[in-house]
Amino acid sequence: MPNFTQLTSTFVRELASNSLQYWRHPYFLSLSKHFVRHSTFLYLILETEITLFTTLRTPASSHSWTIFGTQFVTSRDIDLFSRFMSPPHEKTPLIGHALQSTGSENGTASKSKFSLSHSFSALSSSIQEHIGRIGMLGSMSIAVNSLTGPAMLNLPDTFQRSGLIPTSLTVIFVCILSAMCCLHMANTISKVRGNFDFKLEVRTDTMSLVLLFCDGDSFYFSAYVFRSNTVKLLNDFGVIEVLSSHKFFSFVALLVSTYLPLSIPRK
Amino acid sequence: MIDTFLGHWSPSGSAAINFYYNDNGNLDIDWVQWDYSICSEQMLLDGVCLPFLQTSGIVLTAGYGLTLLIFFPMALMDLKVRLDATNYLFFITRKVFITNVRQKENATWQIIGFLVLLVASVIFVILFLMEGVHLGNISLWGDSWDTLFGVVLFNFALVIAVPCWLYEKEEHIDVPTIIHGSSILSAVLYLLIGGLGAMTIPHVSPNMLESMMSGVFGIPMQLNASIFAFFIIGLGCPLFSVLTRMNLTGSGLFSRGTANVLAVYLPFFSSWLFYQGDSVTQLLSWGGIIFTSVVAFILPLWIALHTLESSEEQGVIAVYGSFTVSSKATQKRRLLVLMGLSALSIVAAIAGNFVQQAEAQEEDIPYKEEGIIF
Repeated sequence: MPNFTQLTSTFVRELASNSLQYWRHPYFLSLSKHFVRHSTFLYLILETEITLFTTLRTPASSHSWTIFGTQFVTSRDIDLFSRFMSPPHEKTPLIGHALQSTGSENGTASKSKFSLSHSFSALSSSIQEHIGRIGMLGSMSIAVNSLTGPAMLNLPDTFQRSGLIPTSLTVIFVCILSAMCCLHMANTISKVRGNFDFKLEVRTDTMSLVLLFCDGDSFYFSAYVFRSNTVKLLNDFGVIEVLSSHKFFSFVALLVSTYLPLSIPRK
Repeated sequence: MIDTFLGHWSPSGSAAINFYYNDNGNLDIDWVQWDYSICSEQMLLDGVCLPFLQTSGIVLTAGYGLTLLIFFPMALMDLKVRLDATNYLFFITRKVFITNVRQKENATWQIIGFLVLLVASVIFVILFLMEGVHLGNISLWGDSWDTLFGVVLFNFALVIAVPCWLYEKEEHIDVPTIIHGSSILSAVLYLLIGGLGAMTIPHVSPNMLESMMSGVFGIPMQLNASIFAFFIIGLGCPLFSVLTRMNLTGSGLFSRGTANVLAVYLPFFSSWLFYQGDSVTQLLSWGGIIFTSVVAFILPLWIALHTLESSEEQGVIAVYGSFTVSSKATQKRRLLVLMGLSALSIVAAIAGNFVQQAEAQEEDIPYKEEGIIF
């Protein structure tokens, strides 16, 4: 069992020592105008920290325990967070604070703690150790299902009108082009810091960038542009200014797209 | 599609509530029925024998009601549950089934869809071959290419699924193997179904599924087309709703209740109002052309170009086969070439759509857009 008193005191001490950076954070300053008054100050910070800890899912293979709603995790998780969070990116103020970890139990267990600014970033992302469970057949199924569909039955008409050779060549050409786009997409995702093995859940964030301008099937993802982790990732890629200028468009598109699930056209 | 099915298999055909303005300008409500007896053999072959097409006003059909009954509850489920949810279809106790199946998460349902697609495609090929292949039905070079890129280009939208799949796949799964394998398999299916269908059926309808479901090509083809329509098309509807809700709630924009109203209740209960007329069809068509093309063929390359210039990180995917890190200039040239080809393809597709619309207006016929209605 961890030393409860030691961990708790360390936790509270570090919260207090980092209070200055909380004060400086714009989000906190905004909050403070409305909510924070003396005694509620520490409570808000604690609540945010606790929410963060309970949001993060601890892998089954690691050790964890909870004290007063605060989850303490093993060093394995710290490694995972560190891999993503540090070194801080100079363009990204939200992740400008390095991960801190203190306390230990038998040399392996540690208490993880982020700054408040980390919390806002991590709360809206799903940074967690994840074990993928889709095998070869499942992967192939997902891919083929995405590539084929009812439109397959439009092709006989296209073959008759456009001819055997042009249609076949077009199918092969577009197939190669699509595969190259997918491979580039996967390669780009693997370039996200710490995601060489695709274990960071960047799907929603990445999709938000990709699907910002998309059609009925895809507008559904566009709301993620508002997530702070998306901002961070896009800052990494240096394209945040593009998103900012299209937020309104994205929002309108999102609303329009809610009509589309059953709006399959009638001939 | 369900109205088509009912029109053929139900003794009384399909039925609908018809809302229309009478001669006095007052709103009137009527009960109408539809079956295949009003269609000629040629209409069935051409795929123009559509349920309630000649009915004026707005119709709320029995097929729509059944669609609502079957798919609406699915749209209210969570993604994992819904996709694990052959439990819903087969009324298996949820707790037991999910415990057993959750290990595979949504892949289970995807695999079922994939197997149905493969079996249905093989049956289509066999039925085409049994009908008899006639090379005279198809020319080598064709005579109209305006919609060629439009039809082909927008089927290949795998890139939308790539980020999710990468996160959910097992670690040992090789990304290029899956992407290459699935692309080749899909291309083969397109060429087989498209080519054999064209060689088998003279003057095939653009809406071949409708023709097949009408039974004009025999009962086996009709059943196969119906299964194809239900599994491949129908189950996509609730999935879209679930994805919409997830994004509305996941972004923190709305609560689950509000998101359900926008993503599930609103489209499921109001979309029947838009089935008459083709303005919405055209809007969706152009939206699909413009946005899908950008999402699937431009933005992935654009992001890759951006990261190439702004990041020193090296990706782990061997995009061009052998994993040799070329210079940035070489990689940039390759990306620009790909972007150029993508842009040309998209321009060809959009121009083709303009030409098709212009031709349709000249001939004074309704703008043709392939689509399916449940």
